[in-house]
Amino acid sequence: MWTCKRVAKSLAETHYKGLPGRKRLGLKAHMALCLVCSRYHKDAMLMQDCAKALAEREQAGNCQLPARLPEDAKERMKRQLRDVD
Amino acid sequence: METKSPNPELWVDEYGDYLYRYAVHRLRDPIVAEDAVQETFLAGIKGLDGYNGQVDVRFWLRGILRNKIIDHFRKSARETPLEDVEEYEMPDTFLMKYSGIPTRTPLPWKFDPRKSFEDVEFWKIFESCTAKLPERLRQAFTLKELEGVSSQETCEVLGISPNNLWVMIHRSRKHLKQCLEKNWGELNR
Repeated sequence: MWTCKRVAKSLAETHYKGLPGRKRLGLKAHMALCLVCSRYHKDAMLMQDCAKALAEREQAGNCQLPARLPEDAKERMKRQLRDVD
Repeated sequence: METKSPNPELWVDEYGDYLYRYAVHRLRDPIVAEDAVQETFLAGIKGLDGYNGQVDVRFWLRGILRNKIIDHFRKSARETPLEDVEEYEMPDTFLMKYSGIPTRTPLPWKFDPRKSFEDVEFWKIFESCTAKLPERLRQAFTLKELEGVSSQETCEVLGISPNNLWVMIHRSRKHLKQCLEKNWGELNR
């Protein structure tokens, strides 16, 4: 039987989707019985999903920040790369 | 599949903006981000012999930049006075400390963020909410939740205990929830 502490630690250490099947089942069973844990850990899982989706968007180059490397920095970097080359 | 780029000078034009956006988002300081990108290109050119062409050059360079960002967090943690870390000790309640049960039940969400994942505006709000996190919390959230760094390594990089990390992650999620509820949930109910 999963205790509240075990559920909390598992979700603090690992993304819930990364938990092995048996552990995810244990987690779900615990949350079905424990109302406080259920809401607390639903928050955790929701935030994990948000963070994962954001990381995937970033990887695909879909950051919302309009940041562009300044042109002078680009020129400086090119010069440095030429020197190393 | 992309082959090894024969001319690293092209990297700046091809990948500069992509890497810079990623660095600014992680480091929140344009000057530090610029330095990190520059170091990444230099490390890339020096390590070009180790690049086997199995991943896109962009992602290979991003991997190098990721390590530079982790190094920056490590250095910044070393310079942070210990008192700031002690603030993130485990809440001193019996239930939380010994059973992991929070003493107050979190309020239900006023909206389901998963339903907003396709909305560009939602991600603008989410990114601005992560930027507003206190620096130490932001670093813990970035390493653990965005970069998927293991708990053990996150603790080592930030110079904190597993209990510190647990509480920092909990608090960062709480801050983000409040920020999203206020800036997105109330406008999109």
